[in-house]
Amino acid sequence: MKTNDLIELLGKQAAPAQRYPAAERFLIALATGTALSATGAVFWLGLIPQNMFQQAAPWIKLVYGGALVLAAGLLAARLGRPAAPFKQYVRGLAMLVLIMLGFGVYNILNTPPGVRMNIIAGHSWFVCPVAILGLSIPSLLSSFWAMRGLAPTQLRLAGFVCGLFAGAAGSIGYALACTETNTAFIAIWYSLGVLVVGCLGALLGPRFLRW
Amino acid sequence: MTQPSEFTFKTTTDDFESQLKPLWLLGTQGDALAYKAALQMIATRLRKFYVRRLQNLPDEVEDLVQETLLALHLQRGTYDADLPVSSWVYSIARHKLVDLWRRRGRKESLNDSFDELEESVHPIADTEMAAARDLNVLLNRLPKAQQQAVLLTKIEGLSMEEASARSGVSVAALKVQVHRALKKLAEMVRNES
Repeated sequence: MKTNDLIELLGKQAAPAQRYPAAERFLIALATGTALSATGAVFWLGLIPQNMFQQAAPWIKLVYGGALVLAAGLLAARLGRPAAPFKQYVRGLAMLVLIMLGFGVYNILNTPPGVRMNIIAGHSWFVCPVAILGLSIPSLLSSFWAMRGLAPTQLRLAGFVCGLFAGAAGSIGYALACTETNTAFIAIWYSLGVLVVGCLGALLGPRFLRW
Repeated sequence: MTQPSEFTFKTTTDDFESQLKPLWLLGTQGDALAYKAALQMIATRLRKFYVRRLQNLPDEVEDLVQETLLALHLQRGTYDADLPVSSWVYSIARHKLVDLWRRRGRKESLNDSFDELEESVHPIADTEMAAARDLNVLLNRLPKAQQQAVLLTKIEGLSMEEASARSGVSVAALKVQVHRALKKLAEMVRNES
């Protein structure tokens, strides 16, 4: 087909541009992903005892996960839009992690040096990132679906941010099953779990986000 | 004095942008004529953009132009009216270019490069290539004696003694003839080229 013929053809389809659908796609991705990882956490790992919800720890996890999901989702929606500036959203996401790490450091410094390793490693430091990775798989799929409806031009970065989004949603699910109570543990291992999923997303992005 | 080149670059892109944007906005509101004009402008730009970057793959240029036009059309909802249309177009064009390289990179890795083949397996090696100069023509322009000396010693490959026996000319005389003939041939070749 000649390029001029193509232009003729496309000209006939001139119509009001459809609205940019990022928000709704990522909301759907968030809702399905989080619901699935929460269900997974409760069924496989078991809900934490009811009285634990009177402590701060589960709420810190949920708020941290929720804030990460929001920040990553906004950044992802931005990345799905060619040429749109997005640095501000990267800064927001980074700030969030730094604040949480700050709380973690504060927690460590307020602990006697002898038992510091105990609050850092907790009793499940190895389980946490792996569980977050496992629980974030549904959100990884749903966020890739959401991104595929947009027009990302930096596929590795877009995949990475989708992974962070999924990891954060997975951490919300895991918060329902995790019995750790120390802020340092949350700051380190939750962040690391989210980062692992982010790297997985970066690995898959160039292959599955092509358009 | 003359303005630096970035000044002209800036004015041309600004020109492009200021002409394109109203057309594009009209077009995406449903004005078919404006939309066609905008696509036409973009197509010309894309062609230049890709021709410069695909000098090794000139056949891919028009395909990529069309692929990008189609992508722009399908993704026109991702354009944000606060941003320049041209940067939105270029960022999609760059994405399509990278995608092409990635695609070709994968395919190309299945082939062996000619550069990596050994000389002995090159199929062309057994055929002698046509030389531009015909040695016989040049030889015919030499005096008879020199011609004979060269034919016997250099082309037929006889030794001086054999050639002397064959032609009845002394070895010393043959040597002189050959020497003069080669000198003359070299001169003719030099003058020709």
